[in-house]
Amino acid sequence: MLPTYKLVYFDGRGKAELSRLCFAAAGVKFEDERVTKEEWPALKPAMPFGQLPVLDVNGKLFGQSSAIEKYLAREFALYGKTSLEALEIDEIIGLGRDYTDLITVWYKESDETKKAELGTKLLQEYLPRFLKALDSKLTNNVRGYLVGNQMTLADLAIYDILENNFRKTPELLQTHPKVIEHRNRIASSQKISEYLKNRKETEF
Amino acid sequence: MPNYKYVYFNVRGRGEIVRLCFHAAGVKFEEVRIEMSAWPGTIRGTSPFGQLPYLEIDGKKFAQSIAISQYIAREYGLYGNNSLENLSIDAVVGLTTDYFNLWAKANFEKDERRKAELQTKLSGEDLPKFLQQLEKLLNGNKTEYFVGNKLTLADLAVYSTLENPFRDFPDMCSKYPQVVNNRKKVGSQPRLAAYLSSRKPTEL
Repeated sequence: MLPTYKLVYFDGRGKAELSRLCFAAAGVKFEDERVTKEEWPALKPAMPFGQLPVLDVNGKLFGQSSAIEKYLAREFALYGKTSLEALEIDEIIGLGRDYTDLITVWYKESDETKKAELGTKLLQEYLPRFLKALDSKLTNNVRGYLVGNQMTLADLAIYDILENNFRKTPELLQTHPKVIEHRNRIASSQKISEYLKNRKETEF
Repeated sequence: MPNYKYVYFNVRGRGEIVRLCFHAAGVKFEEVRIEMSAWPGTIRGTSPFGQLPYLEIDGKKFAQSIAISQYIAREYGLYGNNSLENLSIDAVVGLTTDYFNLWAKANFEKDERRKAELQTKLSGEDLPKFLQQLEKLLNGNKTEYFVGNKLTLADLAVYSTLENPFRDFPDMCSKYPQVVNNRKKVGSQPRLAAYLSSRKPTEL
């Protein structure tokens, strides 16, 4: 019997969306609890590590988004067929995390000059390098998935990571048709397209 | 057993966790240590995604230190007894990565004034908070290990991440008895003890 799942996060995609995509891909029900800024201070001490997202599994609380995602992928057969495929998936997740960490640094930068420098570096160096890595993975995979021959956590992660780029800087992705094709493949898969159709629109 | 070759800089940094995993598990591996001065040179082109570390498994190369360490943990008994234990282990790894990123940000900041600010925040706020979280986890688990009742990737990730803090802020670290005890216990595992005693000290 499946556990009862609740995912607790703020009202946005952020660090919780990949977990939500895992539930969607697996067709597994979960309570999608969204905490407001006002509610957060009172809730914080009860959360492991004082952070969100938190996954509630039959009443037991677990923190750290990257750990939660791996757990859900493991439970829902989104982790490839072998240990080496799992390693490849984790490799892509890691590359993705390196990229999103840089975006966070840029986002939080208060010095205008430094922020502009970082922004340029992101768009001209880090994003192209990241996209090139994805291109090479997709070129080597005839099925059009990032790892193995079916959708995995890696595909969902990349879909999520590139969401803001596709919304705000779509022109940068035009020179990467394989990445665009991959995005369309994931978005049009039955369970994900259903999820995306009904998903609440949020800025972050 | 596959043929393993691990390539990283001649530092501890982000890559030491992999070495600790191999030694703790008693798994033979070939090691190549690259001097920082030799990078990028001709080596960068041979590494997947232009990064270090990478692990060559029977000739196939995989990047991302966390992905690699999780693979070794999976293959050689450094994970837990069930999926939820593994979630907890990965959560500890996530905590160590969060702290390491803060350390790296402070350590590699080029602007002197900002560097001083970041280092003050690191030792005054980030490190105590990290140590408190670790102490709380150990108090909760009561086995002297972070998860379950044996040495796992969680203990090794903490061991590696706390090397600089124990060296640079010994008084602060000594205030966390469970953390100190866990460190002693991990460091005295026979294979690790042998590696640690023969390892050449490095600044980073």
